Amino acid sequence: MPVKSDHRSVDPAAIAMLKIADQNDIDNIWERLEKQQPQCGYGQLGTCCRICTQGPCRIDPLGEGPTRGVCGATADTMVARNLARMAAVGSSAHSDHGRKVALLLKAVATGENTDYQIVNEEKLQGVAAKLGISADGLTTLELADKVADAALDCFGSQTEAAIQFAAAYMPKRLQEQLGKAEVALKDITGARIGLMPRGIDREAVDILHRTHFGCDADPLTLVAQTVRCSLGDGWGGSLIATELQDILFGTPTVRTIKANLGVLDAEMVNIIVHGHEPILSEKVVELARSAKMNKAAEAVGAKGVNVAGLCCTGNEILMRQGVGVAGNLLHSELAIMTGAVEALVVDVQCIFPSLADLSSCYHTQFITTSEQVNIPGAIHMQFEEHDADKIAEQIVQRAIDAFPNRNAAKVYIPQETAEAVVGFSVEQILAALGGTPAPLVEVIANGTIKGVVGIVGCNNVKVKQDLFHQELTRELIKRDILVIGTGCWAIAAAKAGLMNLDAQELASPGLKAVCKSLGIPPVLHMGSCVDCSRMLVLAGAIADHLGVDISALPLAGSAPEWTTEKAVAIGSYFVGSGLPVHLWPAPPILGSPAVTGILTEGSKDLLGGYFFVEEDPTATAERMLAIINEKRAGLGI
Amino acid sequence: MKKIFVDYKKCVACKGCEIACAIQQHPSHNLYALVGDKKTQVNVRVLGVEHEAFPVSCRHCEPAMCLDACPSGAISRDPQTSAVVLNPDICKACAMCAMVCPFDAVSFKQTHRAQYGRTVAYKCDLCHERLQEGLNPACVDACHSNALVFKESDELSNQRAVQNLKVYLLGDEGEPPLFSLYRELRRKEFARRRSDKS
Amino acid sequence: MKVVTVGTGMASADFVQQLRQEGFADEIVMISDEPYAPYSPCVIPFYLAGDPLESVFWKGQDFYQRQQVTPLLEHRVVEIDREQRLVRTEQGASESYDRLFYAAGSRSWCPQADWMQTAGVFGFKTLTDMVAIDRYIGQQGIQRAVVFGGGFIGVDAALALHHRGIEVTIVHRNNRLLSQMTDVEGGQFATERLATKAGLDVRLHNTVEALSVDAGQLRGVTLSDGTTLDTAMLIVTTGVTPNSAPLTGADDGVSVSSELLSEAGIYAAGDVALTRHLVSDVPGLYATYPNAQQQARVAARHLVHGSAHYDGSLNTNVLQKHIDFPIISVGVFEGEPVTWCQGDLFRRAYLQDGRINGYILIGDTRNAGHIHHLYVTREPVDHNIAEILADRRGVSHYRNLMQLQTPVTV
Repeated sequence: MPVKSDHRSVDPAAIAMLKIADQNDIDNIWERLEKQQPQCGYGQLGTCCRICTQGPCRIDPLGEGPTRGVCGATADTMVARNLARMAAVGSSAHSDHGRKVALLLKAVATGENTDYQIVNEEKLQGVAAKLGISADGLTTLELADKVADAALDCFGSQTEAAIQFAAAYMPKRLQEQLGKAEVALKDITGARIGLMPRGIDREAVDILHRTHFGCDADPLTLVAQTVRCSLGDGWGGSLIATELQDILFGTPTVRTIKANLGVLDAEMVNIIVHGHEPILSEKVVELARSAKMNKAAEAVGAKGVNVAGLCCTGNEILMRQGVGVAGNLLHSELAIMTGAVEALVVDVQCIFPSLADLSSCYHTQFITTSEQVNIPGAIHMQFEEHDADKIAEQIVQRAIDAFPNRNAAKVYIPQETAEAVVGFSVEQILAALGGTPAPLVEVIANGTIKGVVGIVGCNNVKVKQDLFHQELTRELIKRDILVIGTGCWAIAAAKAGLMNLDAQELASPGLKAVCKSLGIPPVLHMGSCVDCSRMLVLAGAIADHLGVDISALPLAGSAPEWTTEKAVAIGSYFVGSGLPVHLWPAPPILGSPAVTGILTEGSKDLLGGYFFVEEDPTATAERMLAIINEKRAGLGI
Repeated sequence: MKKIFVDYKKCVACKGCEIACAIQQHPSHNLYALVGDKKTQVNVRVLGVEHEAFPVSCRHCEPAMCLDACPSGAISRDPQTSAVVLNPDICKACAMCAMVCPFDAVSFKQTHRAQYGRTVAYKCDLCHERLQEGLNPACVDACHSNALVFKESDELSNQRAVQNLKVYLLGDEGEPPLFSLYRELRRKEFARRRSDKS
Repeated sequence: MKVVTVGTGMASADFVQQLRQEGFADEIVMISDEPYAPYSPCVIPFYLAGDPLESVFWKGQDFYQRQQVTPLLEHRVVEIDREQRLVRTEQGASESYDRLFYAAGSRSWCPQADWMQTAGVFGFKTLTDMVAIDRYIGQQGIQRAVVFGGGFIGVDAALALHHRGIEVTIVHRNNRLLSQMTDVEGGQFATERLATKAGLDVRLHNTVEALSVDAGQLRGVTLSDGTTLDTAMLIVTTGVTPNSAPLTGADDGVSVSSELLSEAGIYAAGDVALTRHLVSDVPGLYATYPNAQQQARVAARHLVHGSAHYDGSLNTNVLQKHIDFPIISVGVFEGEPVTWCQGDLFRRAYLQDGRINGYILIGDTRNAGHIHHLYVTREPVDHNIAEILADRRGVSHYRNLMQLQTPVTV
């Protein structure tokens, strides 16, 4: 099918599938966005409050109507409360993911769970050392038990001290800077306002409490708690997820994978794993590769079992197992429309409820597995970690059983795929650099590379799919800026061939030379969205190496097609860690001059980091270059 | 006569007018009774046109093409308010009115007022019963941001009105800077979304 | 000055109402061969479908009284005596006039005149027809019927009977129903869905060839393809003939000037009037209510004020009839067709010199008025007609005002 342009996506595979959707009038997310127009401006501005039943109250942005809600809340209070709640939800989603990994590590350590093993002892020792846990005289499982306890304590700690992981991983200078900010906040407000997270769960609960009817009304303290809770995600929940997953499943190593819908194989039983957690998907991959399951597939006339990923579950297994990725968020419906997917197996987060209805139009088994994700119309196969092998086998078998029901007339798999070199954990990046950040710091210091930008995930149906991801990435690498990132951005970059070694040619001469000498692409895949913690750790390592604040480094972050509350948490912990962060689309804060001011200006002085909104990729790249140059000037390089 | 004007720059697309209209038209006059009631009649529709949104409804034209087209005598002009009103008891849903209404203001379904268990046409009645009690139309009262304005319409506007919707769109200048920014960002978002650039 | 109307149809009723509104206070006589107050032919099929009889009297059952009119009912006009300014009726009455408004309407045309003498065979044009059909259905316990002729009136009849709960077979000579108001593709699209939505048994490329009659009572029909259908009811809707003979000597319509005068002192309007088309200028019988109403108003103003001008007629048709499936047809289907079709929606416009020459809108009425406006105002639309037809939300008018570009999906 010839590639034509489409206002909904830049991805040729998506365009081909959308043509099929149009022809057959198949409901899809773009259609639903159209049907939702116009969307309520109060919601978009953040000035709708539904917290108590005296409401809902709305503050109109023109000052024509009432300027306070029934309780007296101003637009500033409403916006700040709503934003804080978004961050609490986003942090909770990431961190609850981390909790499950910690619980699994604990179960493995105690021998309760034998379906999983400690795959990476070296990482275990590294994490223990970082946390100050002595490995002396301990077996691997005993050490794992202590690390798991330390991690679990981060969730439930009831002291005022910072959680262990944050205290251990966060650069000392950042901790000091946050301490100074706490003092400054006390000077302004008179209140004791902490920024270092005390407990991952506690900071989220704090927001739920503080935004209850009749509590915190000050946009400044609400934003401060938003940052604190988010730091508990970035330097806590997400970091725990990343580190402990590396222990259980292996630290990602550099490998080449294929990306886009073409990873589906018309002659095989195709299973797509979608969501965020690797605990189940690792097992599905393991079983799908087993001789037994492939034999079962052959028995129904397939050539074997093929697993592909979607979204961050896809990222987890491509980083560790080299499994091909079928696409990012906006591909999830399109994948089913290929008619070649026997099973879509999902865990948690970013699963459209629409997938159930859509699957029912095909032979696709839409299987939910988490007790936290139940979707009417889906088949629920409850996943239990202690019975992982058996349940994974049942799931794979279910997909195999569906294969004979595939309707060949409905099958169309766009063949476009791109190769991507992936697997850039911090460990791998340091290994590529020879074990120390020094060579990277050197090329930054001498200006061969001007700086590093981390871009994070999501697609947003309001933005042409992947357009901003791709263009911003291209524009940055043209400007001597190394691009790293995670999530659905990473899949977008992989699909566009930007993670291929050939992409070195798209980079400016300086960056290109560095990439060539290291044998890496100019765009590095660092994992799933919880793996944004890897970017924090890398930034921390560089800052520590130089003995400066993260906020002084020529770094910036971006979430150019963001959708979810998790992205609010990520953006906030980047800002809280001292990084300037670009956002598009605009967050729901413009109804409040105070909150907008704090997040775009005030936080600069307080935290070093800040947000900015920009709708054009080239202009964003220019702005980032300017920020990086400003930081370089600050460092005297 | 007094008519409803739309200051489209002030519309926040909250659809409060739609809800207020539905409550006004519903026999229960109660929000919770509307839920799941397919016979609910909503005579105003907040239309999204790219980044702009504004409520559209019957303009009570003078002369009214729908009134002239109606072959069953169901559409007439209320003598007190000059509203163009539709009597569902004798409407046969023949769609002659909808065929000529330039504002897409006539819809069809089995409303609470439909007799004989069949579809009828329905449209805005300018809340003419409320007007006689000295009240504003329900949608105007519901609008938080004053995007809906009920005011006197002069003869000249009436004549132009049938030709051009612009007559009904006010565009008062002056808005808070952050709201301007919001509108501008929305404009950019939609422009980019529509653009074919890749 | 005494005014007489031949006919009490929509044109005559609007004419009289307009005369009174313009201040005309003299004597008015209205003559009809039916016994009713003015009724709406658009509405009468709903009486068959079960609506009460009162609802057909669109200007009220007390119209004559309210408008101070002397009705001369159940008198069929047979002669206009211009010399003596007299109208003569079959029933022997003669009525003098100063001004005559001739709006005698049209009648069902039947391919074989003698069929209409058979019990169970009906035309579908007048309230008298409806009352007779209604009574017959009740008396005979009619369960199924055949409608011969699948034009607008035929489909109207079929749907009315369908709403009444009667199984209907509709026999039509052409390759699609509504062949006059559709092009081939649009008509076939509509036919298919009409058949499904209303459960009609549609027999195309077919005519009723012969009746099977037993003692004057219809028992069945034989179609041209040889099929025989048992039925005790046949509705003949194969066409209409204008009732112009009393005025002109022939039943082929009455030519009128732009003042609606057929000659000095005699106005003609409604289904008998041959008028010029507003857009194409082609003279014809444009028998729709909006035309009749405008003609009546112009004639009344001319009569009272001595001047008024009729701009021309439009051929607009819409068929909805409670099946949630409107079919709109306007203008002529010549020129370059631009089509948009999705699911149950079919929209096509014919362009000539970049302007809409005619259009068909099937399945909903969204944007219909906007397109009508563009048609009547002759606005160039070649740059945006595709967008307008594809507009399901009714935004194209506003997009145009905002000068937004067409969204592109290649």
